[in-house]
Amino acid sequence: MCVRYRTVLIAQLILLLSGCSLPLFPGTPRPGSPETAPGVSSGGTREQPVDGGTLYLSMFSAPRGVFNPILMEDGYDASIVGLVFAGLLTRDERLDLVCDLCESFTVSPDHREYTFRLRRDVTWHDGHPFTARDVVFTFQTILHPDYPGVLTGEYAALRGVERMLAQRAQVAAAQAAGRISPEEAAARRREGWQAWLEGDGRLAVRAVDDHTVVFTADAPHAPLLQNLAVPLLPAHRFAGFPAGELGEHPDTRCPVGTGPYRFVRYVPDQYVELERHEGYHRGRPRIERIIYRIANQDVAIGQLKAGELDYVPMKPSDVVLVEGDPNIGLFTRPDLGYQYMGLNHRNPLFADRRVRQAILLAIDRQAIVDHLLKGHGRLVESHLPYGHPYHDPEAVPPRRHDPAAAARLLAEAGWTERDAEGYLVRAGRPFRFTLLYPSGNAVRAATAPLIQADLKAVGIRVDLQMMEFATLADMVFRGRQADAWLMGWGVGLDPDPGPVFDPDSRWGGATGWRNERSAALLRTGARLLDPAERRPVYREWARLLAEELPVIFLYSQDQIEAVRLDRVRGLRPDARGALWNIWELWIPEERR
Amino acid sequence: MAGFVVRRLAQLLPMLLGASLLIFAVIRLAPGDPYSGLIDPRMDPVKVAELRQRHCLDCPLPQQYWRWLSNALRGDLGTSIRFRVPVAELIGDRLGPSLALGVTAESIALLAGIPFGILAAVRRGTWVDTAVTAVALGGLAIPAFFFGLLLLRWLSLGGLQILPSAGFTTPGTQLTGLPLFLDAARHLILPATALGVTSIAGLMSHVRAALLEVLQQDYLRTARAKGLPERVVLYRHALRNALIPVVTLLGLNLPGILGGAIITESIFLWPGIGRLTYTALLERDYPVLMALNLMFAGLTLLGSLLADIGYAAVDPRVRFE
Repeated sequence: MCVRYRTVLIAQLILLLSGCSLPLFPGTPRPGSPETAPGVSSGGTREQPVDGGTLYLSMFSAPRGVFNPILMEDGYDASIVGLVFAGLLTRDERLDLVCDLCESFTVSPDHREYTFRLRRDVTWHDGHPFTARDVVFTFQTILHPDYPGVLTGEYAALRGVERMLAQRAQVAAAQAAGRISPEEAAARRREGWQAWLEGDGRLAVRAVDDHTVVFTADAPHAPLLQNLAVPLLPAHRFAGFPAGELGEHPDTRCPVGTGPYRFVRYVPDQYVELERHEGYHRGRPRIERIIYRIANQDVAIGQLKAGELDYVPMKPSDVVLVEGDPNIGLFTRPDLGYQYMGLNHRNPLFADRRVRQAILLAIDRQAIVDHLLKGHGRLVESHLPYGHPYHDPEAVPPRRHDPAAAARLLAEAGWTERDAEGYLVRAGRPFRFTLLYPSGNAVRAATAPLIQADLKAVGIRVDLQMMEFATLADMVFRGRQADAWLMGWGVGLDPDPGPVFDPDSRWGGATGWRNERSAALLRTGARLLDPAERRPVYREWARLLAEELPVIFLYSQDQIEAVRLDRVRGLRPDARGALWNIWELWIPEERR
Repeated sequence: MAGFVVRRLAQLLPMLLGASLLIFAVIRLAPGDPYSGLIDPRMDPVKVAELRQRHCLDCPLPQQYWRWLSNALRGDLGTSIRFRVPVAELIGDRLGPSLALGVTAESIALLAGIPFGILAAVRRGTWVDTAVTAVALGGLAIPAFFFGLLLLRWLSLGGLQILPSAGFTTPGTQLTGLPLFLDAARHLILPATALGVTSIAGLMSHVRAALLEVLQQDYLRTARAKGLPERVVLYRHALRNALIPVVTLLGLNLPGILGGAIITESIFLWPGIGRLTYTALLERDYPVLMALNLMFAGLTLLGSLLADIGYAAVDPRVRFE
């Protein structure tokens, strides 16, 4: 995905949708000094947890204020939604899906039916009990033809949905071609919706009783389970409100959820205030209030050291500023996202796989990790980065910087001649292209000149062009006229990449890479539910990608979180992040 | 005088109309639109097309402009595409903090810049002049963001921890009336100082240069020859004329008071117009951009009008007829 700093957060957003409050992986607690280590790992066994206090968290950009789990578009909104809402499922420390709002869930032997027994002790923040109605309402809203969000396609596997979506696409095509009026198109979509509701829809999402929900799929589809973990909306608050105007509903700005913290207010550009949900089903939160402050990244570390903030996401280059401070704990874990250089395969320069391999080998990616990330990251060789549960280190061993091999591959591809300046030429045409990169992510922006210099060393001439994100996205995704670009992408916890490598989607369409074997492997992988059967499929797919290089895989930057250890007690950081058990955290009285 | 002001105000309208057309054209010439940043791969292209249609982004540009203009004339500035709230509300929320910061900073600049400028000009060539000029050059050389960070280091996060580091009010407090004012005032000190102190230098050197020029004029020699005390010569005769360029400067600075503090606002997390403008620009939030730019255009025109009126106060030769 993404490109700006914020885009890193879209990774979190996707994870959130899969039920986790923060992105994940084995956390390595690195407290500033050994004395504080027990407080971190054991959660302060000598002290008794106490109630009350205010926790000050920080984020670096203002949320849009769309605090609706099925509408939000950016990771800052998602941070708030993660505290206010809960879904049917969440993740455990191994990142497996486990019950959150359910007591138990079962999958039928044919892998088509998912039965959820809901918890009976869950209440919405307004005191209303949580029931199967809320579950049905949330999924029906996502599938409604007027629903203004992006999630619909995630549920195409549910019974009859694919057919309904195909009909909608036909209607849209007919409307675009001018064969039918917009009114008629809307009427036909509504007809299709009614037909689904009264037919397959009754089975797709079904409330058997107040506390049992059954989902039925057309065929086994592994990513569906993770998508069923989407945070749920309260039916009683939205009842009777047109689905198309969800964004205008007051609860989209002032949300009511079932999560550990209740939304109090958002002071635009300043902070979001949250209060504990007394009836939270996993236990009454100990910390009374959370102030999620919007902070300036350059000032936040000073605020953390001065005790104004309890939690700050860190840049690798800033780690040295807090290392050695006994009151500040640093928690590092792999990110599920990674950075890459996109290539336009329609450009004949990149059509040859050997050329793409040469580009990968010519770039000193390890130097980027060592110097720009200060070691807080790793090389990425394929789509599933090293923090991913389906990452297989055996699949593709890290490829080292090898300009000699790159030159050999380029020669094999027919690039043997050089011009007076030492650049490669073939049939009178130089090997020259423009690399676009967005402003915003300082580390990524700094990689552009390194890539330029490395490629120059093998005779490839790269012209750099920095632009702000909207312009770049327009060129890459709409115009499809860019040669090469730098971007990042967040990967969901299910290994299925969704439409990212589908040449008919906007993402796959940007590169124009088409590969039948990749498509076949992904179809197989999505049909299997047993991890033991899925792993070999995705191992093969990883190898294919590493070989074919639809994009030039660059690096994955670790997530680093800094927390005030003298104030925040009860931390049990793991793959889910430093604060995943926020309702169990507490602040000692003398540190209020 | 009244006739002059009315005439100028009447001229404002067509100028604003022209400005709006120009702003509209420039904004639309930039590549991308509010939805080009929406690159979530799950986003259905049909939905994106629908969104574009709903906001009439595919309509011919003249039609879009007319749509915007006719709504704006009815007082409807539209709804922000990014924040999904009415533009007027969005800007209104940030107007107060922006005005507080801009006016305070400008006052600091004026209250220090004019006296120091006079001092340096009157004591020209002495150590006082050298010292004031050196300090001013230092002020010119230090960017506001750097000075802001130094202030944070000295007065908030390190050194004397006596002032809040960021924000408009203490987060989580629901104050009203005087306590709210005092709380906001405490938060205002650092950003206003950072912004104000760094603009003292420019103002000071303008005053100094203008005053030096005036001090060499014949009519001042005449005034002195008449036997007027030096104080009267300086403040009644010299300063009034020297302030003419300063008044122009202040008038043209009016839009800057509201929108010119993007970096200071982002260091101190001040909820002002500057940051809103920046975000709206990055996101191509057309309705917000139109409203903001039109507001800046209006303020520029108003500023020059105020400067013209200000001339009458300081320049005895100016008469409005």
